[in-house]
Amino acid sequence: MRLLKIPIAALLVLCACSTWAADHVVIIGHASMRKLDLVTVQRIYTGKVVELDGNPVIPLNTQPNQSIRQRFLNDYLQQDEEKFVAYWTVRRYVGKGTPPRELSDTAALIAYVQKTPGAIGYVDDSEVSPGINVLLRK
Amino acid sequence: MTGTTTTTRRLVLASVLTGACLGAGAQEFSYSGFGTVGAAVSDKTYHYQRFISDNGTVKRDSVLGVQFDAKFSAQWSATLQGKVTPEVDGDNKWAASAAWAFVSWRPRNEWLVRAGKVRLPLYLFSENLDVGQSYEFARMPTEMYSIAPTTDIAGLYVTRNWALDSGELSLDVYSGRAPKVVQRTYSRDGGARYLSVNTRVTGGVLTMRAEDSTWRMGLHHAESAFNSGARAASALPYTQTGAGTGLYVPVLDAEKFSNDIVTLGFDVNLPNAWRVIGEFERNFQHDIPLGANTVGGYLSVLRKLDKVTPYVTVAKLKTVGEPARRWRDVSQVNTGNPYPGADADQRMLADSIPFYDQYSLSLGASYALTPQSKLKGEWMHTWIGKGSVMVDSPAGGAAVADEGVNVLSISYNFVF
Repeated sequence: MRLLKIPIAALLVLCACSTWAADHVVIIGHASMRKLDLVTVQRIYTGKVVELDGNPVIPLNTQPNQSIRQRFLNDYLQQDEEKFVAYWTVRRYVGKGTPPRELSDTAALIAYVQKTPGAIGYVDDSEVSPGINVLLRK
Repeated sequence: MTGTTTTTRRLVLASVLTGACLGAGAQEFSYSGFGTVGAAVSDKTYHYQRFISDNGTVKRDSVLGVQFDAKFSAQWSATLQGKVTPEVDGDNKWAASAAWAFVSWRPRNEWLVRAGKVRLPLYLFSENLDVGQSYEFARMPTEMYSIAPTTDIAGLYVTRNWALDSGELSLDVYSGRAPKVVQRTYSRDGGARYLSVNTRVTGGVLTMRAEDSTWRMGLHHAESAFNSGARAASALPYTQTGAGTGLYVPVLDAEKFSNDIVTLGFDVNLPNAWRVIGEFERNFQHDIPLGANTVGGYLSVLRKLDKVTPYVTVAKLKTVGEPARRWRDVSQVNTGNPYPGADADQRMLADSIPFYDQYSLSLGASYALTPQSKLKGEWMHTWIGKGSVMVDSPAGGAAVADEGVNVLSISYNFVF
């Protein structure tokens, strides 16, 4: 019985680690961009910051049906989908800009970020490969 | 007058053309739409707020609009918003109009400059007033949101933001013209009339946005003149026609008139999903004795319960000072019938004065069907005190006074 407990415990630890990795959203950006703090990320995704150090910044989002989008909104903006949409609905109709561009998935987002100066987005930590510039990891 | 109109048209046209020319190089182009299908019915045979009676109407709240946004670079963009609403100079038709047409330049995070046709920032919900999905009320309280006859100007609008530790402070400064502002008046003897006025408005708004609250203060100065060349009354002398009888005959020689409007507003989120919103105004009339000289506002308490947000609002609008005294004098005058139609003339004069003495209590709720759509319903009880030009008083009788009007409203609001 004691012999069984060790593999079970190890399995549980592995599961916990893989769940943690899959659920952890990180902010990525073009190779030329510097590290960011949380407040700056929040201000970029709410349209209050449009340039960093004099260079334009292009925030990217995934489609509303992507689970990573909900996790990003929750973890970094402390908002849910309804609140985010409501915020940008008002901001658009007060003439202060349009919401971040939406791409189909994180693969498209990574490709866009890598080729576009100023672009920032988010991916699961597990999707970060060498060469991807991580700007913030919570 | 013509020069004013031409200048304004040129400004709007220049903005649109600039946008169109730059359009070829737009990095991003997006469009979105919004609309409200709203029905309202009252328990009175006469019209309240232009359209509402016991026959019911969809004209009071319904609107359909579309907005195009083009982004040319990180700094430059253009916005064009068109909408379909009941015509401003007729009660029976609908009309399409360009609500916004402006070019934006945002050179830095802190600065935003807009040129073209923009919304006047009079109220907390000025800019998104037509987009019912973006707020909870069935309609914004008319006691506050009717203080200025114009909502759009063609001109320059500059915003400076200061990022704070937890929030943002912004200063909006604007100046522009509204070349054709239609003011509707209704008299028991002559029915509805539409007066075209051109207005130049200059002002500033200071807004403090914290995490859970917004505070706003605005100062606005408007100078207006009639487009037809007509003149406003500069004085209203009393002419005696007999023992204890007389007439008020306006001296029509004021070429222009001005208003200073002070607005205060707040929107505060409280614990347990409670929210309090209030706005207050003081409109100072200058140069003429019969203009809008009002004090008004509203206070609302809301509570978000998952998808449902019930609210209660109290609102008040009252004409004060000389226009109120003049309205009372003209309304109560005993002409002695020195000539046929003298009583009708005085009634028409009284009905033409923008006099308000009313308050409202509203109970309503919005239901968020999706993040993009809301259903709303509201019961509103308005108490007309001494009178109100929001009421089309029936012909052949006294002006509606000391009377309540109940209004039921329901609407479906959406964006896409």
